[in-house]
Amino acid sequence: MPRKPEPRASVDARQVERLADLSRLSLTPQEAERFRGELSTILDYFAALDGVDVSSAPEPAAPEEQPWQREDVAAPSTPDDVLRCVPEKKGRYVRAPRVF
Amino acid sequence: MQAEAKVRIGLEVHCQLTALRTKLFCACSSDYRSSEPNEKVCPVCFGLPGTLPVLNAKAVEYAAMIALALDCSVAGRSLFYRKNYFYPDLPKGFQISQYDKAGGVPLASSGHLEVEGKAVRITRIQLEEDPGKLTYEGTIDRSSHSLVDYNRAGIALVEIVTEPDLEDARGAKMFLEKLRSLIESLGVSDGELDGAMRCDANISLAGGARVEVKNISSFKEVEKALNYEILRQRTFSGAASSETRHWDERRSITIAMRSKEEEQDYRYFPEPDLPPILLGAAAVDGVRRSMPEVADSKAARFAREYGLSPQLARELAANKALSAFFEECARLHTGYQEMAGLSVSELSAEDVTGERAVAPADYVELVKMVESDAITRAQAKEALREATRTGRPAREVVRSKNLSAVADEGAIAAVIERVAAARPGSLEEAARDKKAFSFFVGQVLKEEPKAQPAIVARLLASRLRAKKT
Ligand SMILES: [Zn+2]
Repeated sequence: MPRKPEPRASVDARQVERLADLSRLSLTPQEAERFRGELSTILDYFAALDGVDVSSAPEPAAPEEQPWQREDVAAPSTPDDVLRCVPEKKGRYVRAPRVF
Repeated sequence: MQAEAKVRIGLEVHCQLTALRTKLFCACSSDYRSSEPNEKVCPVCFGLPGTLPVLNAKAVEYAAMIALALDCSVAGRSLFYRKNYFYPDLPKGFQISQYDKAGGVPLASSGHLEVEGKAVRITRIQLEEDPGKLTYEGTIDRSSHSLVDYNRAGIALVEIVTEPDLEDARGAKMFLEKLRSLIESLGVSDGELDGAMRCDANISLAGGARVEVKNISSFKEVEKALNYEILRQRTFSGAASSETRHWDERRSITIAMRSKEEEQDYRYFPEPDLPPILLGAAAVDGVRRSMPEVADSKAARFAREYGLSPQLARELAANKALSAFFEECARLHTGYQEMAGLSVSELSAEDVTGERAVAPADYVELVKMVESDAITRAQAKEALREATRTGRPAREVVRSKNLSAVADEGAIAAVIERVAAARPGSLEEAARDKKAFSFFVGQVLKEEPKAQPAIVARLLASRLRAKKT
């Protein structure tokens, strides 16, 4: 029987601020509070997984032969297809806001 | 005077596997250097959602070769990890790499490379993808936007991390040069190509903090960057704080970088889209057998099998084409020392592989002539120069130029008398002093280049003995 996860306030305001900083995002106080709630909910789901007793579960299958590798043979690239998806270009370059 | 604080340097080398035809996880051509921006890209290396990476088998083989050449132990099962950070050169928002913590296992670990008799320990070797290349609109200081070229994104990189075993900038440079020639001799990477080998360094002075210097774009810059940073830290006399600095090639200084990430911020976790790399004992053996012999072990074998002096063996082994040429000759004749010595001093790789290459059988005959005193070593050199210039067999050159050693001892004795007469007192000096003796022999050879030095020396010695009595 899975144990019931301990509810925990997983994410605090400072962690949200740190994450936003690493992601180069600036958040309004309202957005920060919304993300704090959403991220906490997500982490609580994982906390529920932490509570599952897997001691009697079988080991996951591990491949013995090397699976899924590719020969070193080139195929044509598809630059036009992918460049079509780029929102902002300059010539053939992808233009992106500078990150400091 | 106070002793200067001891310096400890560790290196993190990034080496592109330029011998691969394709990128690490997709079939885009790896030959991007002469391409237009964003020409060698596909949904995988562009990081589009819904795509899956598939590992290039050859990249694993090449990385394992490097690991074995550095005496590392190769992991039977290693894993790819995601290193997450937000920067426009990474199309996916993470780099597929390997990791040695949090359950991660890198491709190989615990090796060493000997440089000038001292072992530099290799901590680990891992496979990862190269990021794209950024340039800036306008000047780097002012620009608000970057321009990204993803041709390089996904190129296979091998990261080689050392322990902080290096003690100065010169040592670091020697290490990198040796590493480069080792990797080149394996045929997996060409360090000549722009940006194919780059490096980061960490430097600490005894009692001070560890400073990382990033962005050293070529091995040539390493010595400059390290010397600058050591001087900077000495000037602050140990007050250096733990930080990441950036080597500014243009100004030749290191500048503090505002790095936001600490190790934990990269949120390393196992790459769910790639299976583990399996390299069992049989696979590692296969790689070992397919490896070209590297210079160090070849030199040792030359010394052992052919009895060459260590110095000559090293010089020969350092030249791949000459080594192969020598070994062909060694199947035809056992005059190893003479064959090796003459090759190293007179022949280049071009002389034994090019259009006018010297044939091993021809070369062996020439060497035999030297050994039997039919021609002098100087004449053999002359014949080789002519042969490699014109493409004619060396033996034919010997014949047509009438090259032959003067075997007539009476004729040589006469030259000795002429030299002695031209320089009064020189015989007496030669009898007293070894240097004067060699000088005298040299004078005779100048008069008569076809004379064998050994014969001249013998005749001169007996002439001096005769004078004494
Ligand atoms: Zn691609």
